[in-house]
Formats: sequence, C-alpha cells, structure tokens
Amino acid sequence: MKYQRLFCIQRIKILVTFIIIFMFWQNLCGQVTLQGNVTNAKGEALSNINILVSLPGKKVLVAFAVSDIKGYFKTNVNYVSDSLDIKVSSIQYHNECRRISNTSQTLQFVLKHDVKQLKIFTVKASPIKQKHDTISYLVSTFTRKNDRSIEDVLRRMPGIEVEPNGQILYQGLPLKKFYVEGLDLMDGSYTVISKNLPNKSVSTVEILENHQPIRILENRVASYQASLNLKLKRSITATGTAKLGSGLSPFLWDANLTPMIFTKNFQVVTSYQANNTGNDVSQQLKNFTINDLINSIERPKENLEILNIQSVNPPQINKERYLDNNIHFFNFNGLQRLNKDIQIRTNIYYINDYQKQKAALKSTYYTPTDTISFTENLNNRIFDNYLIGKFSLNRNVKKNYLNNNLIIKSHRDKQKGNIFNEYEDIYQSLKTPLKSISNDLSSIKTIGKHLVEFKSYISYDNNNHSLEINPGQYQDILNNNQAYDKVLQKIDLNRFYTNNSVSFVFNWKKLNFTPKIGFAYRKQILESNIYIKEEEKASAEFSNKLNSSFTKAYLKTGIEYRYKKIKLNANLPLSWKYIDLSDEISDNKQSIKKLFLDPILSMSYKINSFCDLRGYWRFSNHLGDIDRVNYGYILKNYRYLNKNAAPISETSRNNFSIYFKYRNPINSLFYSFSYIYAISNSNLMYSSNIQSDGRTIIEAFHKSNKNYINNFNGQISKYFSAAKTTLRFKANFSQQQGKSLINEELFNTKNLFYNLIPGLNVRITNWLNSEYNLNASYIQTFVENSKKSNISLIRHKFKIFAFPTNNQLISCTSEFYNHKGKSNIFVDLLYRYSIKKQKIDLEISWKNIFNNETYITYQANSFTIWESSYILRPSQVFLSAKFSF
Amino acid sequence: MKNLNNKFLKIQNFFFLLALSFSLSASAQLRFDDPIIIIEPAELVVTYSLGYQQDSLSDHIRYSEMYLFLGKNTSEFISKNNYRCDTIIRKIKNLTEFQEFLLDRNRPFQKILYVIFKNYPKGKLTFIEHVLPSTLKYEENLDIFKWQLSRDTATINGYKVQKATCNYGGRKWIAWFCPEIQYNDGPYKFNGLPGLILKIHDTRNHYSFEVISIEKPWKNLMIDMREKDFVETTKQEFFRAKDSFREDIISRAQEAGLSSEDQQNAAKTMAKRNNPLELKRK
Repeated sequence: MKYQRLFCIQRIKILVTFIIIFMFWQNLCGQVTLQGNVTNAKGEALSNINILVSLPGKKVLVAFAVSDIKGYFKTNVNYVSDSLDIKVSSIQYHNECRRISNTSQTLQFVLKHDVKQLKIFTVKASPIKQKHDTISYLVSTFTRKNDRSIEDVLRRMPGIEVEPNGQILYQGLPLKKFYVEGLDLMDGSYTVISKNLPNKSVSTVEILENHQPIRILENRVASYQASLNLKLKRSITATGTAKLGSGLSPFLWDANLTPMIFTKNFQVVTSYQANNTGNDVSQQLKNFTINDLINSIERPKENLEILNIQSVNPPQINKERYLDNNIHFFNFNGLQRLNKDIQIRTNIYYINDYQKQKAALKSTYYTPTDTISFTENLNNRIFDNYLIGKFSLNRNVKKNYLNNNLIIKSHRDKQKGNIFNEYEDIYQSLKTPLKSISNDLSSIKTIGKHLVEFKSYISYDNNNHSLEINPGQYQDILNNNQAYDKVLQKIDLNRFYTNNSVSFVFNWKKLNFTPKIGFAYRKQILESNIYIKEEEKASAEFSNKLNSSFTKAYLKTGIEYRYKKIKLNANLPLSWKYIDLSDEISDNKQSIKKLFLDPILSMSYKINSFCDLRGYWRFSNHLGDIDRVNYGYILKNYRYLNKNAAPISETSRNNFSIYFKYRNPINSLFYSFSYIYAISNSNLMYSSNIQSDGRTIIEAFHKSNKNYINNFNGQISKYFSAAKTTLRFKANFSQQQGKSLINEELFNTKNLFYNLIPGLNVRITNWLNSEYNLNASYIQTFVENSKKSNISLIRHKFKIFAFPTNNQLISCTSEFYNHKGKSNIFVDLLYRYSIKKQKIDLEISWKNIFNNETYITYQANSFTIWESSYILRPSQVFLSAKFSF
Repeated sequence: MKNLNNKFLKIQNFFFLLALSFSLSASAQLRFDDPIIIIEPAELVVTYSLGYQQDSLSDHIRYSEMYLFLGKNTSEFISKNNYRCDTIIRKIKNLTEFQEFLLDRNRPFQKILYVIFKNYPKGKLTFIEHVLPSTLKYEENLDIFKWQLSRDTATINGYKVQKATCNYGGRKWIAWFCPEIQYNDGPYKFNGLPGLILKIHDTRNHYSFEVISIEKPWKNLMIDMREKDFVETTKQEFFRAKDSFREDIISRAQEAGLSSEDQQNAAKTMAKRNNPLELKRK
C-alpha cells in the first residue's frame, strides 16, 4: 500500500526533495519491488504459486515469492542488472517465463492447467545387504575396540537402537522375536543374551522385516515388526554373567550365576541364585499375563490350603524388609530343534528355601453380648522344597500351529510352628507334599476362510497332607475330655480336571461376534481322618470319603454397539452346571443342576474431550466350590475344627458401578470419582463357635442372607509448574454390611473403612526429586449398630532420589508412624555407581538404619479385627557387584 | 483364621476384577474406529531421515524416518512408525482385537508422535500430538518463515538446490530447496520456499532433516486425519501441557501404577529430553 501511494506521488510529479533522494538511493542500490497477482483463466486467484527471480540466463535465484490466498505476491530484488528473468512455477499449472526490466513493477500472470511428471529418485541404500525382507549386517565392520557384548555392536548398526533397559528397537519399533541361530530361547527376556553374548562369537546380525513368527498367520495377520537373528561364528559358544554381594548383620550373601551355551540346534541358559537377604527369587516363576489370571479362576486351586499352621498375613510393605529367607534357586532352560518346523523346550526349576517368621497376632471377635480377644506369639519355620519340569513342543507350519506344554510338579514342603498363648505352648507340624501333572494344548487351524482356535487343558494332582499338633487339641470332643499327647489330621485328595474350548471370530455387518464354546469337567476324591493316637482314628464323625464331580458346558458371546459418543458392550455368557457329591462314610449325597445366564452390560459416554462417564452392571451366579464341602469334621488348624454338611452354596450377585473422570493436560488438572454398589445373596451361612481361647468350630447352615458393599473412591491431582510441584489427594470410603452367626447368636455387622492420602511431589532440580505422602486410615466395626472398635493409623512417607551424573544414583526412603505411644521410623539408603567401560555395577545399600523391629498392620472382616506385629529384618549394610564373564 | 479370611479375600478379588475391567475399558479409550476425514489423494511421498539430539548435554544422535505426503493443495508430515502403527489400528475390526493389540507387550510405540497438516485449513497448518492422556491440536499460520535467500547452490542426489536461511523457534535454520520440485513445502512446519526443501538443519546440528527418497504414492494413499476427540488449543497451551508432562513425570507414572524403579527410570529418561526442536514458542 505504502509503495502504491509512492507510485501515485511519482505520477503526479510532486517534487518533494526527500522523495527524490529516496528514489535515487533506491536506484543506486538496485532495490526493485516486484509484485502482482496470479490467477487462472477464469480470473480466480491461485495460491502457493512459486515466483522465481534470477539474473538473465542464470539459474541461481536472486529473489522469490509464493503467492498468498488472494493470489498476491511481492518480492524485492537487490541486484545491478538491466533486466531480470521471472519464472512462475507450480505443480498444477503451466510454467511461465518472462524477461522484465529491472524496475519496480506490477505483474499479472494468468496460468493454464498442466499435469507434470516428476522424476522419481531413491537414495542408494547403505552398504548393507538386503535380500527380500532380510537385512544382514557384518558384525566385524561395526565392531570397535572396547566392545564386549553383542549389544555394544548392535547399538552402532543403522536402524537399530538399544534402550537403557536393554530393549532393542529396529526402526523405532521393539523386536518381535530375538533369535540365536533361528531359536527363540528366552521368549522376550532376551537382554540376558544380548548383554552377555560376546560380540566376537557372532558373525552376522540379520534383521527379518515384517516378521510373522506364527506361520499360519502369514498373509492373514500383517506383522509390522522386525525380528532379529544372530548367526554364530563357531558351532559352540559359552558365556555368562555373575552378581555377587555380601553384607552384615548377620552375615548376608547374594549370588547369581548365569552361564549359557549356544549351538546351532541346541541352546541352554541356566542360572543358580542364592541369597539370605530377603530377595524372593522364586517370584520369577510367577506368571502375570491376563490370560493366566482368567484361566486360574476356573482351574482347581493350585495351593491347596485345607490344612495350615497358624500364621499372619504379611504386611503390605516391601518383602525385603521382613522376609528372613535362605533360598537356593536353580533354573535350566534348554531349547532343541528337531527339524525345521518342530522345537522342544525344557524348563526345569528347583527351589530350596528355608524361611523364618516371627510375629504376634491379636485377634478380637465381637458379638452383641461379648468381645473375645486373645493374643498368640508365633514362631514359624517354612521349608519349601520343590521341582518343576516344563516340556513344550512347538510345531509351526503353514497349515497349522500347535503348542503343547506338559508340566510336572513335585513338592515336598514342610512347615513347623510354635505358638505361645496365654494358656499353653503348642507345636504344629505340617507336611504338604504334592504330585501333579498337567497338559496344556493350543492349536490354530483354518476352516474355510476363518481361523479357529482349539484349547485343551488336562490336569491330575495328588495331595497327601498331614497336620500334627502337640499337645492334642479339642480334648472335650475328640478324647472324652482327657488331655492327650498329640492329634494328627491326615487328608488325601486326588483331583482330575479338564477344560476344552473352540473359539472363532465372526463379523456380520456392523456387529461383531466372538463366540467361544467349551466344556469343563472336574472329578475329585477327598479322604480325611483324625488320629488321636498312633493308628487310632477318632470316630466316624471326624472322617470323610467324599466323591465329587463338577461339570460345566458354556457358550460365551459378546456384542458391541457404538453410536457417536456412546458405546455399549454386552456379554452374555450362558452356562450349564452340574455338581454331584456323595460321601461314603456318612452316606450323605447331593446333586445340583442349573442353567445360568450371567449378563454383563457396560456403557461409556464421552461428554467432551476432557470428561468421561462410564457405567457397568453385572449379574452373576456362583455355585459353591466343591472343595469347601466336608460332611465330617476336619481339623484345619490348631484352633479351627470345620464341618460343612450344608448343600452347595448358591450365590447371586448384582454389581453396579459408575465412574467419572476429568483429565486436562493443559492445566495439569486430573480428577476422578467412582462409586460401586454390590449386593450378594447367598443361601448359606457359616456359624462360628468361638471359645475364649480362640478355638473355633465352624459349620455351615442353610439360611439365606444378604451382603451389601458400598465403595466410594475419589482422587484429584494438580501440577503447579511455577513451583515444580504436584499436589495430590486420594480418598476412599467403603462400607460392608451383612449378617454373622457366632456362638449361636445371629446379628447384623457393619464395617467402615476410610483411607485418606494427601501427598506432594517436588522436582527440586532436573536430577533431584522428592515425594511426601500422608496415609491416614480408619477402620470401624459395628455390631447391631453399636460401635465395637475404632482403629486409626497415620503414616508419613518421605522419599528422595537423585541422579547427579549418568552413572550414579542415590535414593533415600523413610517412613514414620506412631502407634499407641510408640513411634517407628524406617530409613533406607541406596547408592549405585556404574563403571561403564568394565560394565560393572557397584551398589551399596543400608536398610532399616534405625533398626526397627516390628511393623504393625490391621485387617478386619465383618466381626473380627486382626492386629499383627511382624518382626522385621534387622539393620543391614550390603555391598554388591554385577559383572559378566 | 484362613477360613474367616476367605470372605475378605473374595471381596478383594472382586475389587481386583472390577478394577481390571475398568482398566481395560479405560485403555479402550484409545479408540480404533475414529471417523476418518479424507482430505485429498497424495501425489508424492517424500521420505526424510531425521537426526536429532534429545539431550543437549550428550552428542548422541537418534534417527527416525519421516514421511511427507504431498497432495495438490495440502500435505501431511508424519513419522514412518506412527504411520505404520496407524495403518495397523485401522485394520482392527473389533474391541477384542484392539485389546489384544494394546496388551501386546511388543506393540509398536513411536517416539515422534506429532502429525502436521499444511494448508489445512487454508493458509494455516494443523499440528496434532498426543500428550497423555489426550490428543491436542492447534493451528498456526503458514507464512511465519522469513526466508533469507543465499546465492549458494549445491546438488543433492542429482537435484540442483539453493540455500536459504531463517530463524524459527529459537534456532537458526539452513535449508536447501529445489526449485525443480515445485512444491513449496518441506519437513516439519517448514514451507514457503519456491521448491521442495530437500535438506534442512539448525546451525548447532541438533535437528537435521535430509531427503532419502521421493516416490510415487502407493495405492489409495490419502492425506487424511483421524478425527479423535481432540482438545483444541493454542500453541502456547500445547507447550504448557508438554512441559508439565515432562516435569511432572514421576507423579504421572505413579498414577499409571508404575513401580518406584520404573518411575525413577522415567524421570531419568525425561530429564534427558531437554532439547526440543522449538526452544522459543512465541
């Protein structure tokens, strides 16, 4: 605009001196303004058209412009030249060139449509061989002097990245599989290999792009991830890693040796781990996948706990604080290739652990008329000794996929315990040997166009358990009121279980069905006897010979429906159940057949981009566990004598829940609320007959009763960037209501739990973080609306951790609480230093600095409060080093 | 005691399963069937290699491949992995498949999560990035680059290119563009030169984009946008959310149920991501 006005002024020749000078100066410097418009033949403005300005005959640009939405462009040229070349270029229109004089001017371009071919180019690939979907890297060309493991070399290969935790990425994506000579030994935990296998023993690294390891799924399920295969130089390679540590007091050790052997068709990783520092290495055997969890609900309980010695539930703190162990863990993983398509994998685990447990337990039972309270001091010794063998066969061909796992377990576990209560000293000895065999088969086949998955599980186990107690208990019932030396409870349980299913996926129009049809069957025989002297059985009332079976056929279907911001999901599992029980000794029988429909309905509604609302309803029916029926008494524990002669329990349950959440990442405000309401209706009640010394007789009765649960949960957090601080508040309130039957009194019970957790996190600097939490909890127990107990506990937690340099880590955790005038403070310190070149991690830790001895926790159910104080590990200093060999 | 405890344990189990069902439906929040807005067909696929230094204190350079899909009027800039991952999600037909995908320990994750649409809407660019737990979106004018043309020329893979410089986001950028390829576009937000930018880097070499290939698009390749539940915001607010996430990582990781060790690892990782492309966010 300003320039246009200047042109006007020029045209009407008002000779103002400063303008002349200005114009003159402009000409001297060659400053020329080119502007104009670009349109098509119809006169419509064209945007994003390139205007290129160069000196005549030259290719180098001296100025340019790009037309805007109105088709307007403007540029300045600053060169001494008589004329300029101007070129208008774009993708969709014809290029136009003009030679113009080097003076400020307005230009008009009218462009014609044009389609152009562009030459296509690809930069030549790097000197890495590529054959189909496989890329090969020669290890020697990427190796440097200080490299030790293959991981060091992988880091340098183009396209490959190694994360700090050892995870390997190709093109930014994690690997699907990590093979050595085509064998996948570690199944995901490949860092053991990549961090330890010396680079010198590997000849080439192959990347298999778009790798689908299950061959039947090739061309059906696209794989986006790559797999990595290491090719070895020699036919045999052996390597390993070690971690050694020691400390005081008492004398502590921690050792971990992991040797490995690789050949083309046979590979082994073994490990031996031992410690007495409270690190429960047997946890490595636990499976955590969702599928395992769902399966375990259906299968017979693995840890049969019919008989037990009196113990205390462990406190909800880090296990290393209290676990007094002495564990030896041996583990063998072997993989053998039989031919191109078939592999056999063997895993053998052996565990030998000796644990000592000291605790005091105060149990209080409330009835409307009475309060029974007693204390036990426990001193338990647990001897775990077991062997697990797992043998897998895997066949992977184009037409089908088959995986079969055979698992054999043999346990010889023992527990011994001493109890000191107000009346006597009691010695308990429990033996829980187990022999079990199970087979898990899964196979994928094609039927027509659809993939069908078959699953079959079969198991058999034998549990021959015994519990011996000195002196003899329940003398009034078992031994005509005469004191006696010892009582022995024996049980022998044999169980068979199988579950088979077929599942497939259908898509019909917009609805989606995923039906699964299956059949489960369980058969078991329970024999039990109580002996008061060697070979002398108590009367028939204390014996069982129970034959039971459980059959279930099921069909599961799910339907999903979505409309705009509302989503509905319905699951309609249909099942037919049949239970049959008969006891040879008491000649009792019962059977039950039922068809159940257990609908689940869930709904979600997105209110806006910050808020979400969800609802859930489920109605379910449960038949009691056949493990819980025994027509004759069983002495389960030194003070629990149990009989359940009532019919199988039938429970129906209604669950409602509603959930609202708000999440705003811009101002970092997050909050959510949830409310749960559940009613369960059962036809069975358990009656407890509690004596003043805590001895209890439990029997089941046919009496319908209801139980109500209310739970409210809310949390809010907000981050304040100016203070680098997050404030947080969590609250939980729950109420449980029901009926209890104790000492022939039937009464209403109510429990209230409150939990309030305010806290804050402060980021002091980039490498220094701190955290503080207050945890206040209250437990109230009501019997017939009168408050029987009120417990409150307040704990403070403070944590600080720092990483001043990349190879150092310091952390300090402390916890403080005051209980009945006695205060407890726990402080742990840790310092870690890594020596990168030698690949050694050094760590020093000082745990329980103030040598606190006990930790108190509370648990409650409808009419009972348990206060347990657990003896902790003493203050200890520990030094460890981790390295490879 | 175990007997009496059973009831209590059952209640705990019930809560656990309920929590599980919640967490599954919570992850289903990342929807797989968002409606897709088709903008226009892609005419050319340009692949850039991006080298970037996340930690200003360490000279470790990470690499990532980026796609620039060029259409007649608009363009889309997305990382190759993000594009691949998106392609998989679009193939998912039902919730079960999607849950399996989410539970897959090896499911792809991407480092570079942003997607940039240029000249959409007209004269602007749309920037989309997932900042947990939401997907944020903001618009910015296209003509923000004040390019200084230099007379230096060079050849990149047989194409004659010319140099131009500009200041953006607190860095000085050196770009090499090719007037023969008439798209006035480039990697990231860069545009406005009279030809495709084949190479651009900042003067400290913390970020550099370099062309690897220019190809015809594969069949049915569209410039399109998954219409998620975007939180529409401004550039300043976007960076505020991003900085908060980085600084507040420990408590966010805590909320997500990560172990104390994983929280510390996350904090260490985040402390190293201290060198964003745009240092100044005006």
